[in-house]
Amino acid sequence: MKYFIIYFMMIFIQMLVSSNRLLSYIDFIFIFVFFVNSQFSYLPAVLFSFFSGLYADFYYSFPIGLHSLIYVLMSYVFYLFREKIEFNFIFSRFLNFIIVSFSVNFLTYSISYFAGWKISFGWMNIFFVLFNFIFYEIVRLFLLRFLKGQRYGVL
Amino acid sequence: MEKKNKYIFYLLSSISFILLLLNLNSFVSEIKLILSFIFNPELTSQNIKDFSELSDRTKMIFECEKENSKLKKELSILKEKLVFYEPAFNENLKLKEILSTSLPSKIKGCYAYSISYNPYDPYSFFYINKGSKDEVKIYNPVIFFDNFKKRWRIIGRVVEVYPSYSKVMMITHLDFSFVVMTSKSKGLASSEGKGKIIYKYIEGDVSVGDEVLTADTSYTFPPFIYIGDISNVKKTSDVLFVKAELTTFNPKDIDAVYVIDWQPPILKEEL
Repeated sequence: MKYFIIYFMMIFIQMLVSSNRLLSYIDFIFIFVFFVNSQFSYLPAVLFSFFSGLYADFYYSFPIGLHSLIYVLMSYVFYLFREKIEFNFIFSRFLNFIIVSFSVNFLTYSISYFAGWKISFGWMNIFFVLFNFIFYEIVRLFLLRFLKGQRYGVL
Repeated sequence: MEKKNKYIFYLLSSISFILLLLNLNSFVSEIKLILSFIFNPELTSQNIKDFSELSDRTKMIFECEKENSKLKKELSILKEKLVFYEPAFNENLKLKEILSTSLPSKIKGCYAYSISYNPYDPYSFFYINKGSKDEVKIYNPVIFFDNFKKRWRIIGRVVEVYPSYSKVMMITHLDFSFVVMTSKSKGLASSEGKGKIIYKYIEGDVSVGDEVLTADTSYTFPPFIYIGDISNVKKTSDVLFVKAELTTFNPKDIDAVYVIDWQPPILKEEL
């Protein structure tokens, strides 16, 4: 149930921010996927990633299956390196977030390029990765408070 | 557990990959549009105003469609008309030019059109669209307006007359010969085929550029009608064998002609 709540929360926030020109650059889908992958166990995280990816494909008008594939891949990488990734310190979180974010962006555009899809590259996306992290921290705090008292996954 | 996780990963990634390969974008574009309206309030809010005017706009689209089909029909009719208009306009220009030129005085007859010519030998004969109904008679000379020279020139004479059409033998026909003259000479013009007319048995002087006209003593054509210019002179020791070549016309240029109401005097006497 909690996963559905988080999923619809993600959709709702993405809907809200999309009306704002500046905030629409913030990728809340990725933020939520990153949060779920960092906080929950593999199975719910990978399913959440898959469906969030589908939603992202619909939302960003990317070829259907592109984001779901990348997010599923991201989930698996998280699963493989879970024990080696540190999320308790802000600096390590920042590093992880930036690396994963750029990797996802790189994968998205490189797959699109090699597949021959015409997807315009936005330089603002690189710049807004930093802002994404700020919003990730806000979302993280909010969701942790929301889920306080309960034990999920590695928490 | 690890195996199960791997299988889930393989399953989900292969589903995603299949979705990518299927390239469903074209099929789900409409669903995407609806979903984008649902999930993207910016787009929705932008279009709320548009939706309020939706009925008016739809009405306008239908009206535009009607107007468009009507205009298309009109356009096709106008295009059809234009197909006939352009050749008619060109013909009108040509006829205007012909009519503006003054025919030699005392010449009477009728205008006619060339309707066909001998494709194997275009310099032999052609048919005109006027016949005995239009008072075209046998041996009537036929002239046409040379656009390059800007003057009337003789091209042949009627050899067969039918009620509504006639056959014209051209002066370039292989068997055709008649008496001609220049300002200083007189002789016989005879065709050698393929549009070549030779001026021979010349009495008097002849030089390149001389205008050749029908002779005043000719029984074939009325006198003083332009035939062509001398383009080449072949002089020999014997004056009798001096030959000159005449410039001729291109049969393809022959379109509107004038049939002169004239007959050879001998024929008139016979009749």
